[in-house]
Amino acid sequence: MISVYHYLILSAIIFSIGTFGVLTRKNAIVIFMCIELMLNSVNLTFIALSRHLQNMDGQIFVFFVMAVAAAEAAVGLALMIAFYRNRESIDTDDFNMLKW
Amino acid sequence: MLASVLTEFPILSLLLWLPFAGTLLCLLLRHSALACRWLALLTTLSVLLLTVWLFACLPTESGWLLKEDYAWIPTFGIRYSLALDGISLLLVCLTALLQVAAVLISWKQKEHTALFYALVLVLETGIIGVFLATDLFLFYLFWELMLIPMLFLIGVWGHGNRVYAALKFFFFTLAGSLCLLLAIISLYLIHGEQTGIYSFAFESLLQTQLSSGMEMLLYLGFLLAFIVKVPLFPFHTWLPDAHTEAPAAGSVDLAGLLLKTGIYGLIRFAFPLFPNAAQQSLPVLAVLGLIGIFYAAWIAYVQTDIKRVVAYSSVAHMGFVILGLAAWNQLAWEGSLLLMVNHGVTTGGLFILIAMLQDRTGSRDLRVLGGMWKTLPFFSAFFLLFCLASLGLPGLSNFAGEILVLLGTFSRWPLLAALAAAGVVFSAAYMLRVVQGVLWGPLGQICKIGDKDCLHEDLDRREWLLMIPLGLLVIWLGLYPAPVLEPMRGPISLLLKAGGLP
Amino acid sequence: MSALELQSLLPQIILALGATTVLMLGAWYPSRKWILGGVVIALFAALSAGLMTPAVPEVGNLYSTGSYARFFVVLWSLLGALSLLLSLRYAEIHDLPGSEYCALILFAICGMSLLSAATSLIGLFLGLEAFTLVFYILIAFKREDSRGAEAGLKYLVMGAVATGFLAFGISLIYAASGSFHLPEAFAGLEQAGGMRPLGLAGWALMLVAIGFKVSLAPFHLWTPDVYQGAPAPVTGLLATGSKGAVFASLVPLFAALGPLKADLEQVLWLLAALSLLAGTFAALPQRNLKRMLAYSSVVHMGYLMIGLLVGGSEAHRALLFYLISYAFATLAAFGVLTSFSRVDDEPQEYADFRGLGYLHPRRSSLLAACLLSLAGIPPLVGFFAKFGIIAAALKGGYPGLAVIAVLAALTSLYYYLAPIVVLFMQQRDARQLRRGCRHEYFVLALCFSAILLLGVYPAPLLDLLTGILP
Repeated sequence: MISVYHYLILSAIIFSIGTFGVLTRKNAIVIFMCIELMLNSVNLTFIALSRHLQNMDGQIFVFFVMAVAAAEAAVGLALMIAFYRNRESIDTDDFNMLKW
Repeated sequence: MLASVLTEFPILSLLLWLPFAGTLLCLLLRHSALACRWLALLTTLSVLLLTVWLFACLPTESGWLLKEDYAWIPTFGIRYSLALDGISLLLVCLTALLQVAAVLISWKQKEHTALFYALVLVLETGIIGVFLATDLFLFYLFWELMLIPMLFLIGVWGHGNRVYAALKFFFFTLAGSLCLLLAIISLYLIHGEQTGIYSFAFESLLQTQLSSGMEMLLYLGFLLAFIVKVPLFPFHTWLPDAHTEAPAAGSVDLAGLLLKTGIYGLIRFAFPLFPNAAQQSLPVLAVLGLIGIFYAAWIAYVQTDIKRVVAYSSVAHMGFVILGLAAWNQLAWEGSLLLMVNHGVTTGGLFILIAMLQDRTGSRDLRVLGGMWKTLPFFSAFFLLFCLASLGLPGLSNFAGEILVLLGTFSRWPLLAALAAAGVVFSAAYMLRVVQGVLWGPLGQICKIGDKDCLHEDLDRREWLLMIPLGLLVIWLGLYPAPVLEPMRGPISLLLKAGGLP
Repeated sequence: MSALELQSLLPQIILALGATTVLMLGAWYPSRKWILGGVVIALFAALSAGLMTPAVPEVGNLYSTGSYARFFVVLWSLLGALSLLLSLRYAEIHDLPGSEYCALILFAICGMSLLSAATSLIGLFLGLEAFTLVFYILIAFKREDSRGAEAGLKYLVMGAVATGFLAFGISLIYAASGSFHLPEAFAGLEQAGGMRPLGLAGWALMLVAIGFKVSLAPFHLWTPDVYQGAPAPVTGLLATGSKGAVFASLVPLFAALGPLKADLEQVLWLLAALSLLAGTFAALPQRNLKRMLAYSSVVHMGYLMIGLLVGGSEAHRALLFYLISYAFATLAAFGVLTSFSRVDDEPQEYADFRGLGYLHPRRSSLLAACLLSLAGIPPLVGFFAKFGIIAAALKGGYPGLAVIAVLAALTSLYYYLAPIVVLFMQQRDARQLRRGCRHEYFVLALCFSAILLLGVYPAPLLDLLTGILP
């Protein structure tokens, strides 16, 4: 029997993979994919919890997260194009005009 | 008639905000250097007249002579309360006098004139505010308000190493001030918890019950802020730099006034608020004062820059003042406060004279200067007078204060008093070295007889106007200090009693 | 959503609809005059929030319409209007598209207003994302400037990760309590029993996200880069509004938290102390004004954290007062930077400021006043703000934090004085005039009078804050 805990654990694992990816990858697009992974793990949690708690709030939140993720992706890709035009790279190692 | 004017008209606020109004006007008239100059002179003169009038009119009582009190920030129990007693009256008079001198000595100031006078006037507001405020928050506000103009005066118009000196001055005093702030807030909270009434008023805070450990801690916070400003021996290192690099007006204000705010803070706030802790600290203060006298004399003796010598002499004099305060009796305190006033006048005068000398010869170096007696006789006469006053020649101003301090100290700590008396000899040594180096001897290296550069102008009218009153004051304070002692006597006995010990 | 609820949320609706209208019309009639239109819309929103009595106390269990929320609508709208005014000449010389810029700023204000009004975790999330998304764009708004794109991308990556953390944290709190509405969520969390650790973990994740958004140490590394790369007026709004709105939303959140706060205390203490120390030490060696202000903002966030940690109405009042004083001083500082900027350059390095003090005495003195206010020198408002926080810390029983705060204030003078020294105490280097325009002067004068008047007479604002605090 698959309980809500399994869902929570699964999404925690996915979230961790996403975080790990953000921290270790160099390519901005891949980092973005990892962020999407994090957000989608959140969605999974909400849907599972919504079902478990028998209220719809969680599912509403999922729609908001999806909208935010989409908007972030749109803005992010635009910024990457702007950056690429100037530097011909989207490697995070090339984010070096402003010293860290 | 007079009494009603004094009680109904907010004369203390007028005294306080008049210079500030001058500042604003100065900034408005910033395109005309001449207007600013006269405006500054007029403002400082009117403040001086006002204080002299108060000095002449007010009765010599021991309590507050004038008071003002308004609600300001009720949420925190902060009030705008000013009060004047004999001690603050004297110090305000001294402030007004030296500020006129500061304006006159920088009459030829050419760079950014408007800003310069604006800052001098703000500084006056800050200093007068410190001497008048009785709400601790207000006091702290003015205490900090003095820093900014001084920072700019040193940093913008100073000599060679000015930025370093300005920042050093700023950080030393600010570090002390922040300890003061922490202590004030803690005291305020403790008092509030005990009584349920949160207030910064000095009178209410006096009632606070403190455990002895807490009292010591808070007292140290106050003490640190004040003795850095005084400055007492281990905390004095900012002073020579600041004095040396500051422009003439800045040196006059620093030596004459800012140092006094430290002493004033000690006797007005630190001692009465924490009487037991204060009693415990007296021996330490006395010893530090004594060390200061000798250490400063020793360092002063090897300096070649006259301004530095005078700066270290300030440290020595302040050592005397602290020693007198530590003796904790009427005689010594009168001596200390008198010495404070005298030191303001003599050291202020010396810095003014040094500025004149530097204007003429372009140097303050003892190795370079010499033989001024031949080329600048009137200047030299004044220089000699102020140097002799500074080293404590009987009949001139500092002597009266020093002898009272020594007598008062002798009744409590004979040994320390005897040692301090020896310190007077040391001060004679370094001051006479300056006199000899500047006035006598061969004409300095930069100057050969017959050389055109050596024919400096002697004092001009403005300088005569400046030096004669100061010179007369030095002699008068030396011969007949009673009028100055009179208004202080009552407040001092009150302060000593409030301290709760003989 | 009923008509009454819509009416209660009118200020935010004005902002959102106004922004959309400006955006649409701007497509047909491109002009930089739209920025002035934006100022009018923002003022209108502020007015409606200030004067109108809302019909319902809470809209859809999402946003409060209480006096606290409306106060912040007014504040953010005014800040937005001021930064729009500041941007007029800047947009002109850098050839920024007026209507888009104006619409984005209005959206940002709307987001901040929503965030400060949030009473549920959904509202919090939405408000936060609304203005963060806008800032991603605004930071990189100068298209030909590659530094802007880089700053925007950095902010985006950091911000998106923070969003992930925030959402995951919310999901854990939801798991433990079963509700998004704050009072129920916290009440549920207390009785959660076995799920309680889950809820606390959710809080920890949320704190990480908040730390990113307001740049608390150790999550502050993006701050200097973003400040440096973004256009100066945008940085002004970012530094004041976006951080301020988060804190404004945290105050009711922590007030509702109740006894749960004890579990978070050590973490908050650590965050505050770390921010104070890390910001101070990082700011010390800076020779670039924007980067210095960035690190110093980390220190200021540490001060605000102290207010949050101590809790209680007095500490919260001190926090809000600090927030307002910080906002005006920072906005004015970036305003001066904006008005010093020319077509080809924007002064940032200290070397660019050498001797500017006597070439442009009024604006330089204003910059000096802002820095001194941020440093907490009386009689400027920053002093009173710091005083309030330190008093609150001592009263709340955190003497250690109070001492760290005082030490940070002392050290902060070193880096705040450095630009002042360059401005006034070094030989004049700058010969070319840097002319501003009268809109900018108006904004600067307003900010300056706020800094000075609030410092000398803070009583009315304190009374107002006492009145609006929940």
